[in-house]
Amino acid sequence: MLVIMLLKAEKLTKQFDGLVANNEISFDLAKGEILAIIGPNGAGKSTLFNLVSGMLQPCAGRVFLEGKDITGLKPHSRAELGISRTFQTTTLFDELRVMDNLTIGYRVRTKTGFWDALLHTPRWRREKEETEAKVMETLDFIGMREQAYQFASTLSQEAQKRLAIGVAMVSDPKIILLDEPTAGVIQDETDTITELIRKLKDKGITVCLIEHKMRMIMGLADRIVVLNYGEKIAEGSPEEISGNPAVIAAYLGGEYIA
Amino acid sequence: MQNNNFLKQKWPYLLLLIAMLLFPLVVSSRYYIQIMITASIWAMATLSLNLILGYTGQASLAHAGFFGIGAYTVALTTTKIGLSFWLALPLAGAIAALVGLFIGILTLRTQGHYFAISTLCFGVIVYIVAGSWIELTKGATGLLGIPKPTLMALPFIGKLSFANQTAQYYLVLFFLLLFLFIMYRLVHSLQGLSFMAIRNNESLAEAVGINTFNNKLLSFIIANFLVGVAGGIYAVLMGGVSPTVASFNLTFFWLAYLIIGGVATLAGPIVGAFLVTFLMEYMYSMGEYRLVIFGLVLIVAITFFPRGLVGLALTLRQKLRDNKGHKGVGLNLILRQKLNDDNGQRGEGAGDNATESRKINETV
Repeated sequence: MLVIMLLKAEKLTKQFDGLVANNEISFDLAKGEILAIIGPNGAGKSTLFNLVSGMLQPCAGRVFLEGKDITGLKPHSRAELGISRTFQTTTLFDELRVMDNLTIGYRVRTKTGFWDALLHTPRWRREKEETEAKVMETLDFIGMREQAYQFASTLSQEAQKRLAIGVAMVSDPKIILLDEPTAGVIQDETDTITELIRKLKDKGITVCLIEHKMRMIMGLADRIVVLNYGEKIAEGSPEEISGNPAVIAAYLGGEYIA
Repeated sequence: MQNNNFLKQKWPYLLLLIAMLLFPLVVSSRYYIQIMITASIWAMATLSLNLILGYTGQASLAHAGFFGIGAYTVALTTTKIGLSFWLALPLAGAIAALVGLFIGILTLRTQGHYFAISTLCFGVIVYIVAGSWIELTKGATGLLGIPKPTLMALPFIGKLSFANQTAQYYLVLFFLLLFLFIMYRLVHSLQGLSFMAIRNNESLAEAVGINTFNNKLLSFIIANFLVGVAGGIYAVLMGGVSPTVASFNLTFFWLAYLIIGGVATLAGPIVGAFLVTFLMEYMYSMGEYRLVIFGLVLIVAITFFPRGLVGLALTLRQKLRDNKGHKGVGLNLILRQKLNDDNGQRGEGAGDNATESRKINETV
C-alpha cells in the first residue's frame, strides 16, 4: 500500500541555553490520520509543535511538507501552504466578534489589499462574498451560528476551544496542529471537542494533536508518538502504546490499567 | 425603502455635515473659522495616527516628523522651484510615505515600547534637521511666502483662488472628509481586519497566515502618506513653515486627542481634535494652567474611558440595542444581513410547522 507522507519531521533538535527540549525527533504524518503526541509535562511536545508550525527555528533537522523542504519558512508562509494550528492557552482575537475571528482565519486565502478596499474593486466584492460563504459554512461546522455576533471573550471556555479550531480550519488547511484542544474544559464537555476533531478527519483534514486526557486519546488517535525528556521513546497504535513497558514506566506509571 | 433606512440611521451624520458646510456662512467670525481650519488639520493628522496606532496597534511617535516632512516638501517645492501646490501636495505624501518605508523597515522589527522609542527618536531627528540644515530650511526662521493655491481653471466658475478664508475652510473640509472616507473604506475591509488582527494578537495573526511585518509596514506607509498630505495643507494655509511643525509636542497632542476622542474608532480622532482644540481656545486666558487641566482630563480618560468618548457612546448604544433585542454592529455588514435572513427563514419555517400541527389537530 502506498502511503503518501504529508508531513515529515526529520531529526528535529532544539536547545534552549543548553537545555535540550527536542533531541533528534523524527515522525511522519500520513494523509487523513489523527496522530497524537503525548508525554509528561516538559517532554517537549509544544516545542515540537512550534518547530513544525515555524514559531521556532530548529537548531538542527528539517521539516518537509509533501516532500518540499519548509524548514526556513515563517509561520504565515506555512499557513499559506496548509499548516494551521491552535495554541495551548486558548488564543483568539478576543477583542473581535466570532465571525470576524473566522474572517481573519480565511484571510490567508484572500488577497484584498489597500486599493481594493479603497476603490471597491471586483476582487474586493468577489472575495467578500467568498469569505462570507466560507464563514457561514464554518459557523455551522463548529456549531456557533447563534453566537456569530458575540465577542470571542464572552464565550465559554469550551466554545472558545471550538472557535479556535474553527479559526484554524476555515482556510481549508491540509494539516491542523491542535495543542491540547480540551485543556481547561470539564470532562462532560470534551465530547463536543472530540466530535469536532472526528469531523475534521471526515472532512479529509489531517490532525496532529497534543493531549493529556488518556481515555480520550486512546479512543480518538490512529497513531501515538510518545515523548519524554525531549526524546521520542515510542510510536505506534493506541494498543501498542498502552502495552509498551517503556511508556508505562516513563509516563503512564504503574497505576495505569490498560 | 433602502434610502429610507439609510436616512433613518445616518441622519445625525447628515445633519452634522450640513452644519459643517453652512458654518462659514452663518458664523462670520474669522477667529472661529480659523480655529475650525486648525482643528480640521489636527483631526486629519489624528485620523492617520489612529490607523497605525489605533487599528494596527503600533505606537508610532514619529508622526509629527512625517507631518513636518510633508510641510517642508510643499514649502520647498513651491517656493524654490515654483511647483504648483496641486503637484506639491501628492509629492508631500509620497515623500513622507517613501521615508516611512525606509524607517518602517528599520523600526518595525522592534515591538511594543521599543517601536515607540525608536520612532520617537526618528521624530526628534527630523525636528533637529529642520532646525539645523540652514542652507535648505533656513533653520529656526523657517521658510516663508508659500503662495496660496489656485485651482485649475474650472468651467463656468473660472479660476478659483484659495486666498480667502472661507475657501480655505472648504478646502480643509474636503480633505478631512476624504481622509474619513479612506479610513472608513479601509476599516470595513478584509485589509482593515488584518490590521486589527495584528493589534489584538500578533502571534495568532502570524499563525493563521497574515504576513504581520508586511501588513504593519503597509499601515505605517499609508498613515505617513496621509499625515504628509496633512502637513502639506498646513504649510500652504499658514503660508510658511518652521521646525515646530515637526516638533514631537504635536505628536503628543494628537495622541491626547486620539485617547480622549476614542482609540480605534472612526469618529474618535475628529471628536477629540475638535473638542480639545476648542476647549483650549476657550480657556486661553488661563495660560499654562490649561495644560494642567488637560493632563487631568487625559488621566481620567485613560482610567475610566479607555476607548474615549466615542467608545463610551458606542458601548452605551450597544447596551440600548441589546436591551431592545437588536443584533450587534459587526464589521461584516452583508454577513449580518444574511444571518438575519437565515434566522428569519428558520423562524418562518417553525411557524409553518406550528400552523400545520394546528391543522392536524383541527382535523383530528
